[in-house]
Amino acid sequence: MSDTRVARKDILRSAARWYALLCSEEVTEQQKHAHEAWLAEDPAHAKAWQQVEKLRQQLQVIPGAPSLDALQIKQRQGYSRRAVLRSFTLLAAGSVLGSLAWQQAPVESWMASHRTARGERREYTLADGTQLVLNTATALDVVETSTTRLIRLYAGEIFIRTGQGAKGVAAAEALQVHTEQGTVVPLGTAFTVRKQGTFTQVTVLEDEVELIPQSAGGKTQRLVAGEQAQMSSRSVEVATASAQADSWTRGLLVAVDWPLSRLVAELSRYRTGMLRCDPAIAGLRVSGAFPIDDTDRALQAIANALPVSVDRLTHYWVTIKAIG
Amino acid sequence: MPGSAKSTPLAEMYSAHHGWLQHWLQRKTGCSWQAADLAQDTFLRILTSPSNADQISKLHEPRSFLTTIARRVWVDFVRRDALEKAWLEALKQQPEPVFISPEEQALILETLFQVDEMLEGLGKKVSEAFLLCHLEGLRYAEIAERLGVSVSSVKKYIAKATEHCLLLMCEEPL
Repeated sequence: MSDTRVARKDILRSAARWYALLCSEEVTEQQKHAHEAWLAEDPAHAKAWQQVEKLRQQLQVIPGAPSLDALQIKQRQGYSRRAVLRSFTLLAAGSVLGSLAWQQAPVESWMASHRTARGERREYTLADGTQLVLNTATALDVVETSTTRLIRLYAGEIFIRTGQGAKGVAAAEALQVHTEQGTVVPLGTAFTVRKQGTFTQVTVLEDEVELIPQSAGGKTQRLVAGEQAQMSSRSVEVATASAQADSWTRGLLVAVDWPLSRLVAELSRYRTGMLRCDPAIAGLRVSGAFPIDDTDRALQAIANALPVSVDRLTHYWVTIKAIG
Repeated sequence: MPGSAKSTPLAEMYSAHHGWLQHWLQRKTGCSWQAADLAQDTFLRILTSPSNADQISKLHEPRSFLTTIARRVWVDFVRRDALEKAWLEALKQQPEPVFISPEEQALILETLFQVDEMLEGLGKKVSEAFLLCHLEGLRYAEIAERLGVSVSSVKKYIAKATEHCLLLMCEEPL
């Protein structure tokens, strides 16, 4: 048993050496032939070589330059397994993050988790009349007690219009949206919350909401109607909201003087497969209302408005290119 | 975890210790939201690893087993998170804008994570040489110049890193 294990290890080592030789710019024809002979010599050699090919394919998935940078950035920050494990052992009880009010709230009922597929949109009404709309590729849990409603947004985007009872009366306890980055507390209002990588984007359409980043030591930020904010777990950056930020609830994506790349990125949220835009035309400006329930029509509209063509390798692989 | 698994050792372990594990994780991380996710992932990892699933019925101290797996899950979580942030940072640094769809992004991050995991524990020059060769497509002579070593060292580094990756790929540890 352990003999075959050792033998297998030896073969993998040989395969690795062959690979290092073949990657070299100085490899000779003779060496290539020798490698082929080695492969033919034993089925176990060929099997080991399959692993080499698998590794190679894996490395081809990732785009070179940004991947190299990312790995180097992470290495510099020192997140080795050992360092991370040590930090876990040092974590003291409850000291890392401030405990939020809802964490102690008794949970009376768990509703099944709510999900939408890519390109899908759904509407729900909660017990208190709160209207909830889920945009494409969204996942969340709703935890309702007799007095509070907590929405845990894991992915995607939601629109919320709070119910009648929420305004004024203990608003902070009535409804909260929690994401990985922090908590959003509406103060009788309509707003959208979107998970975007390591940020949560909040847009206020009516009245106000309060944002509480997870690790900002209890600091809060108030947003009023017409404002939009990017919340990380540590801070909040406020900007003016783009016009019609809730137009998706009506099946439209409204772009006002956007670079084409942004429009394409937004549209790709509603499609399965790859939708890309040639960097050469990424900066073209575009305005308009595009149907998100029929993104093929949206792409046609882009092709009609701009000097670009929609190049379909398959339905799942679409590239927008400059004409000519 | 499907309901059909009612009488399996894992299902018993889940009902006996899931609450305790989540509580333990919450005390550790201070966040009930994260604790719930981590506890779930811990059981998922046991479920998807055949060698672990076999062990369960023979365990004397299931809670210490659970905390061991939970620690690994947490370490992965932190490392994945750090890598995702590094990736976003790297995208910002690129001279030309890079367009990547959400599906591509998920696949890239998963692969990057696996590559990063595989290279963990290798010497700095060894992993650097491997990455320069595969991600930047540099020739051995160029890598040698960058790292200040000889070309034959570069070849040794590539062989060493490749062997390390191959061993990990074939063993598939938890």
